Amino acid sequence: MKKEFVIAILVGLVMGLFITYGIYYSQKTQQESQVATTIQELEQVVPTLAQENNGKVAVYLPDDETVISEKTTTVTGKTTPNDFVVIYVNDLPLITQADDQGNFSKEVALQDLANIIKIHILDEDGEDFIIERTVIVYDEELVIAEETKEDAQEAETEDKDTVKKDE
Amino acid sequence: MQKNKLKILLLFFAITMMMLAGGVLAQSETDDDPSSNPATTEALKDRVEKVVQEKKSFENNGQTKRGFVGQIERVSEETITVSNPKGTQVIPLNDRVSLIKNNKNIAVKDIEIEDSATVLGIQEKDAFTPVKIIFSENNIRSKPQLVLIGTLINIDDSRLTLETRKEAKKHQVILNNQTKYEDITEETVTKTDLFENMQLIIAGFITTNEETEVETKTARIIRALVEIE
Repeated sequence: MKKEFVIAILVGLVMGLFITYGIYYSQKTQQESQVATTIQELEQVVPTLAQENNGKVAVYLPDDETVISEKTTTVTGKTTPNDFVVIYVNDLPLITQADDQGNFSKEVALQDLANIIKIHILDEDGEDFIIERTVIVYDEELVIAEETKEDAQEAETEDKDTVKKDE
Repeated sequence: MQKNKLKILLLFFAITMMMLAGGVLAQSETDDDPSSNPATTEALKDRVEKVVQEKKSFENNGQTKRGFVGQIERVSEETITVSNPKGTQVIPLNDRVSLIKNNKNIAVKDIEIEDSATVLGIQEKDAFTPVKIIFSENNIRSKPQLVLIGTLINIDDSRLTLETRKEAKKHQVILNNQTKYEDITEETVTKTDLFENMQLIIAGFITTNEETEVETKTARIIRALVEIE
């Protein structure tokens, strides 16, 4: 009976290892493919952001000189597989790494108003490629329309006056 | 009797499998690799959706919000000139542009050369219309940055020497109480975990003494390119 218990536990262990590895692997692959798919979507959305630094690096997000209301953004791009990426938001650095396909994505905290994001890509030989993005955090409306309407009304009134005078 | 024996064996088999599965799956949930973190993936998806919406909105009405920063180079009644490493821009001023400094509206005569400016406005096709300009006496541009990858030559309490991969040049880097240490898995480690010949990435700043022109390199994050137990 003891021998049979030991055999049952060993068989359970082996089977359990196989099943859990299968679940773990499928979860991981699913998450990686989600990031890869999202980055592929980005490549389609922002084709104008051609690869920078002689085709070695592309930063898809954030767009340069954007104004957003959220206090976080995701720095996303593509480089050579496994390159290290150092991201500075103003004076605060953090380090991440591109995956096996060269994709990288890191959520970063932003400060109010100006955020200068410098992305340093470090390749295996220690070469440093730098890309800069400016993101402004500002949650109030930026309106020029009302003023323009008033001006347009004034201009319209002036035009009418001129027409009347001409008549 | 034989049936009972079989039941007990199956019970042991099932308990062993469940314990193993529970352990491994709990481990996978705490995996904090940012590239496979579901929260980061979700955040990225949200951002993509927003970018798509912004692009569509821009395509529909041709308008988008735009902002940039720079230093004031020149001021006149009708314009200010703002420069940054990407170039110089002349911004037209009129009654519709709000000028703000220290949370107060200011007049054109109060704008000072070398102040920093955050310019906010609307980009309509090729034309930019400024709406608000926020001035600050502080320099918005970040300090000169230090990014090195190489081999640790030696380390003590307050400094380390690193030989870079690129030029095999030795750099002395200051360590202080703001310096953070991490390993390849992004786990926090301590200074004492670092040892000679270890491969490191250093991110920090370079400051220059104006009188002596001596450069000081200070580390903010040091990442060991190995896993430290």
